[in-house]
Amino acid sequence: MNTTSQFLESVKYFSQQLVTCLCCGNQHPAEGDRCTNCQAPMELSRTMGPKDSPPEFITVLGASGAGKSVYLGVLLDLLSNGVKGLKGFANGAFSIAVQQNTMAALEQRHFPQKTPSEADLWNWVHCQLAHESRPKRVYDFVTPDMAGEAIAQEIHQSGTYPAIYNVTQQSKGILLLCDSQRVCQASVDEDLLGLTMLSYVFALHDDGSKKSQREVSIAVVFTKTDLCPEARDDPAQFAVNNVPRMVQFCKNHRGRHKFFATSVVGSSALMIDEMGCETQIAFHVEPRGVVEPLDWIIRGT
Amino acid sequence: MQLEQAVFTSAQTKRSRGYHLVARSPGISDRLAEMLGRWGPTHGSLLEKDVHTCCYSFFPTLDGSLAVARTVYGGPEYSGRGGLQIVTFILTLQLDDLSGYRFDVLSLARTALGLGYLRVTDKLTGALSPVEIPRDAPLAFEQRQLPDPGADVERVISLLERRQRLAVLGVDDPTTLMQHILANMSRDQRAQVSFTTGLRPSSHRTFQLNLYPSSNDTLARHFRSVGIETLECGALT
Repeated sequence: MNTTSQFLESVKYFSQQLVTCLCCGNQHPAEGDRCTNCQAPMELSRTMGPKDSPPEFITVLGASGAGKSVYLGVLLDLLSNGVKGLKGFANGAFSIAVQQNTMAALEQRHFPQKTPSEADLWNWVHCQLAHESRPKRVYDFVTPDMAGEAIAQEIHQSGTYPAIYNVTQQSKGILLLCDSQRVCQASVDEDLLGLTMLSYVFALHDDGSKKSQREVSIAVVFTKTDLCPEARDDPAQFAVNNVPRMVQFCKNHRGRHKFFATSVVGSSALMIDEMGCETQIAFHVEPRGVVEPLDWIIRGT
Repeated sequence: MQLEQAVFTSAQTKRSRGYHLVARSPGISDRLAEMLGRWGPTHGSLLEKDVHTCCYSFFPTLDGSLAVARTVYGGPEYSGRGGLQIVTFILTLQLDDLSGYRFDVLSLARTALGLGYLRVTDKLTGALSPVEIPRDAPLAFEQRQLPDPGADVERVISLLERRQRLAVLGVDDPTTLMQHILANMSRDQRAQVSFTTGLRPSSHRTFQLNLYPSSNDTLARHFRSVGIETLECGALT
């Protein structure tokens, strides 16, 4: 028996093994880094592929500057310590990067840098969650940390970013982040922007049946509410007062929806350095309302 | 002759916010604008942190058109997350437009720069007019006037002739090396090679030739993972 040729055959077999991308369904060689179609990390598909139950995609959408990266990073950090009965663990190095980058920046009293629009530079989150009331029910929470500009481009021309298209289409829950300060300053623009995003989500989920509309839960999350007490105290009323089109759109659809308020810092200020660069400084980290939207979505699935 | 121009950077405009095509001349169609918007380099795309960094790129666009771009750091990024905005000035052209410049796109870019284009100004957003530049290069640079490229130009060219995608790392002056490479290529070859002298690699921007001042394992590994041959500049001397 020729062991060398057998070895070479086995190497050839393994190198030809294909992995199906969990996000877009394309098949790729097992040793690839990222899916060449949607740029999802292949590690995600390799670790989740063999399981029987499909992952629970939960998409975090929002305009540029709404706070998606900060929200995700702080959420992961809270989940890793356990909060409100929910406990979760970031799975994979690509996942931990989101938590690490955010918490490292906040420790330095800064916010993380802008997320690039290039999909192959995005971090992805894969977090395995369980609630203490149902410890055997484990959720795989998967979402990319996307750039707001990319989301805008995808909505304008569907298919521009296959990752956004596929993850949103497969998501059972959507966290739509809206900057509460911007809502106060330019409510019509923000209302229309949010309406555009909601329309995109429901278009992807609508196969004409009433069931399809019910299947997706929408959590509209007003961020930075440390600077907007009105939103913090009563997000539902804040929504009625400032983004009535979004409210009406949600009511017209049969899916679950709810308005939330969140903040991650107790107070902040704007610093201008010697080059004229404006940087928001976080005086102290004080998360509020971060976990509740995710908890609400999970309870509905 | 007239060339169309566009600006891609991070700004808050009526149309959008964050990185997008903030200005264009009338000849840039919606379809081309969308393509440039997907191509555009966003936050962190300039690997060098020096505020005086400047990077040139050359690539095909739609329907046989070409584009030359100059990417630099601009003013403070507007969104309060710190750092400088990255600004990319783009000229679109046809192959024939390069004939007066001996098909040397960097010669055309230098001419445009000398006339005041491809530069940060106080007004980056809004409507632009087409660029008027001479049909023939007003200045002809002799290769011997260029500084030492610091690398074996012939070897790079021979690899490019095999249609191999290539990344040369650790280049002291990528723009000078690119000038030497273009000067040593035949006219037919010059406009066939897409290149960048410093943009971060991305699947949104596929160049045949990538020149970088920095050299590290992460960069080299990334290029190899997408089938791009990497060379250290030191190995090319």
